[in-house]
Amino acid sequence: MLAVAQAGGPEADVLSFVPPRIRVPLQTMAAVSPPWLEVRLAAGRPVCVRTVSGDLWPDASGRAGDPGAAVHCDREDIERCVQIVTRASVYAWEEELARGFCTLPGGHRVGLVGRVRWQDRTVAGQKEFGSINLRVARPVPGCADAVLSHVLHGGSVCSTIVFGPPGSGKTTLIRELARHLSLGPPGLRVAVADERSEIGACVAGMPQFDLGPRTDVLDGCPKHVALPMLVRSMAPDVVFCDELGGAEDAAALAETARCGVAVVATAHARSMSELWTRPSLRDAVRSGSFGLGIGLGTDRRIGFVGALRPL
Amino acid sequence: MPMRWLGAVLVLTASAGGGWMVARRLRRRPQDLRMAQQAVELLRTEIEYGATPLPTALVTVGQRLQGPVQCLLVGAGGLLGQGQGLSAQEAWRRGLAAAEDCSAWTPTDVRVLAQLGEALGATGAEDQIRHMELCMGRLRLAEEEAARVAASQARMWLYLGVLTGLGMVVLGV
Amino acid sequence: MTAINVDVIWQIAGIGMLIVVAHSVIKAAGREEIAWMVTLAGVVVVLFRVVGVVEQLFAAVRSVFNL
Repeated sequence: MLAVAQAGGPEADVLSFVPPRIRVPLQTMAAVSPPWLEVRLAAGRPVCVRTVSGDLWPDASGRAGDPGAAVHCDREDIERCVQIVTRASVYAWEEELARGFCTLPGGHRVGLVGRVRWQDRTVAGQKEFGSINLRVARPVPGCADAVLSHVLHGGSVCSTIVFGPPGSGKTTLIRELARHLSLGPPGLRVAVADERSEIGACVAGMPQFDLGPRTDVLDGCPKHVALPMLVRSMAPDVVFCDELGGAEDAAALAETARCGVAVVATAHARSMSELWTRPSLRDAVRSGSFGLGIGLGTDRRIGFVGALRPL
Repeated sequence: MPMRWLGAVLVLTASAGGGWMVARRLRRRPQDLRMAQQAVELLRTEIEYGATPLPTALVTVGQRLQGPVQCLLVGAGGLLGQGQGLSAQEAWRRGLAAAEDCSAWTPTDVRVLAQLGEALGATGAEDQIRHMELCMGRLRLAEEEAARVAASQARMWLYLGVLTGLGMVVLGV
Repeated sequence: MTAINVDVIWQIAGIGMLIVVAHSVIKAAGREEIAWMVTLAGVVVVLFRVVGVVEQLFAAVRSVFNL
């Protein structure tokens, strides 16, 4: 896991979206640092690189050191970064900017926060960006191998909920599961309801991650709408979705299960007991929509695999 | 004697040519301004209905047009598409500087286009359309004025060139 | 002596014609003030041409009457 970040890897992808002034020291650093998780840029503050083994603060020559001596971003760097990410076309990314994140080619995502334009009780847009967080996406091949036999039961899929704290690799795991099930054996028809464009990270209809040959992605649609839509239009064997939690989600899941379509979903929960404290999740689990639970720990290890039992 | 006549012919040709060039510039300005309006209009369509990213939009629109606007749009779009981290403003400014040399635009016309460049791509679709409409309105006014000027003054410069040449010849003989 | 005089007359006639055409062309283009300026310039040029001839005339008169 602690391999050196190689040139041309996901770091290089992400760096092409960093303004040239900051790109140069970061490139130097990327060659000798552990794999990156995030690059954080904030106006008036030092550039921060989060890696798997802690934060790094690159100075002008690309050496990691003290935050005080690190390269600082100014307002222009942030503006320039927004221009690069949106390809100088803010008008084409209004929705994404209002949501606060966009997906980049390669499946990486950028979080952007600035000053919100508030209209009709929703975020109508953002301007004067202050912070940008470039999150490096890195598929972890083989991370689902251990649980695959549990999910697949004699050629059919057992509905599964994957839970864990943020950053524990839930999405990475189900992405890998989707690929395995789609590629086969047994080669199932997989549909992905990708509300936040995290599983497939579609750019112009192309999933940026390999999701397998029999996978269809419905991008950016709320889950309670996406699930019935996918069941009707793509006739899938299994549907994948991200981050359950809304009140409408449970009903949609039950409906999907009734159609005989298995569901693999993730949920933010540190433990099984926390899963039961959330009403909408509890309803979904209790209604028997999920036969299998997979718990992940902060160290990205699989901590629990088994049937969900009410506590 | 023949040398004298040769000199006279040269002076006359040079002077007439100068007048002709000024007249041609005056006559081309309305055309160039109309082309600029067309470019902004097409760009607006790309932005409003296609939500096309700026580098692609600039190049596709530019390739459909000719003359200085093609130079401007294709130049700016190309620079943006190179991924050197250039902002839309910088790319537009450079494209405009290159296009200015081969155009009949006056400094005022160039300023109108430069102002559009400052806003290009930096805001939401609604705002972009407003900027473009403003720019088109100003270009239309400039075009009307340029057409008026061309109609009244192009001929004058043409004649004046010839007359000045003749005057110099007469005085020098 | 007479040959020079004829030359000057031709020149002045030519300038006069050119100035008339230039005046009307510029006036048609709607720049009347410039048209008048051009005419004035023409008059000045012609005057400079004439000054020399007039001086020759005075010299001739002076020599004839032995003043």
